[in-house]
Amino acid sequence: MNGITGWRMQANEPQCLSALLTPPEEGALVLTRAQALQLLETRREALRREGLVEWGEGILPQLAKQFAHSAYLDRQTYAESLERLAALFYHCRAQAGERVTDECILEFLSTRFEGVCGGDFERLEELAQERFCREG
Amino acid sequence: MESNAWNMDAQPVLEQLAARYLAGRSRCMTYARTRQLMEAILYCMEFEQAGEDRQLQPKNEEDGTLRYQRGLAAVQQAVRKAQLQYSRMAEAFRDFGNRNLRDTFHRAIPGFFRLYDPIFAPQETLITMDYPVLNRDVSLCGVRAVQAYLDGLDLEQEFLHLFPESLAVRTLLRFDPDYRRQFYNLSGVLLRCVLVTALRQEITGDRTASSAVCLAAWRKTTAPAQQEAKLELLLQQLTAGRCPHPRAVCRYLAPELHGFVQQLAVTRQEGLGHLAVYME
Repeated sequence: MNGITGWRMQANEPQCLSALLTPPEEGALVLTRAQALQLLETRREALRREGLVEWGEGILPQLAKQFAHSAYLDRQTYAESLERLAALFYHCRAQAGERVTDECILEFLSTRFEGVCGGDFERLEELAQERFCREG
Repeated sequence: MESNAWNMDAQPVLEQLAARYLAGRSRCMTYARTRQLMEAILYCMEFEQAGEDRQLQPKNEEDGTLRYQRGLAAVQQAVRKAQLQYSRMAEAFRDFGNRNLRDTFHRAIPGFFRLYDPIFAPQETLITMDYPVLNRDVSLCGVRAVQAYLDGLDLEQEFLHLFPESLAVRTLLRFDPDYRRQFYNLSGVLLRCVLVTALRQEITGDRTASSAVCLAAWRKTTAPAQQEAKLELLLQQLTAGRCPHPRAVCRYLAPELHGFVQQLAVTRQEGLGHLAVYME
């Protein structure tokens, strides 16, 4: 399986990087190239840890877009927070089973982070674990 | 299935098949599911190659997607062919009351046709086909395994149709009163019976003579290779003009002849009676 995952990563990382560096809408948080590359590294590790293969440009551009207007993130915390959110997303993805959509997970993380969690990652991780482990 | 050349060729197809499988629900897939899809692609590609009797190495200039699509079409065609064969066989299928044969044919195989997925899991055989045909190739999988199994059963049915139902049932009952609940091959029992009956006639000139005495005499005077040749000849005489495909039926039953000769060589004198259940 290493051959397949390795091939996939080579094929879609440039696509993913390009999407991450696309200028966002006005007022949105942005990543530097170095931060985007670090995020790809986080993704690579998370996919390997969770036993997943990701297709196309992947979820990261969507994830970045979803949290680019967060009330609880700023320029200093945005990149690091995205790394944590990405790891959490892939963990949920692996746990949730095939019937749960990416958009459902993304929406859950976004609404809880901005809502009941008030930007608290540990609380968000607890809620996500509770929600998606039951789905599997 | 694991050839690097094949994997390289199949990888572009994998992305397309994964997209089709995920159907927009997700961008991710587990290793296990990815492996399943890769095996599905390789199965179709190899199916197409084997069908056209080409060399197994892919041609570099040929597009992997095209070869996969041709393979998938060949798999789907094989399923249709097997379904037609099954329907034809079902019209006159004989199981002589053996539950294992009946369940395998009337329940398991239709279950395969109902559940088989040529696109995402053509390599899955899905059913165990518990009734033991004589020529089972355990290396096969997917529709190819079921097709080969049906081919074996088809030849066996040709042979079983040589026997009137009541005679076959009486003979099987004499061999084993519990044969309806057993898991062995029925054609092997009937073949042995009909051959011993023919041998009795030929060796002693008396169809009613004791089979044990006949077999004891035969093994003293005849070498195993000659015994096997004689049994082959008797089988050819039995099937010629009576079975639609006599040569194929003989090939199908050949392992049973070899087994009988081997068993005859090692069976003690007092066991020959049991070895030689005969027909009335």
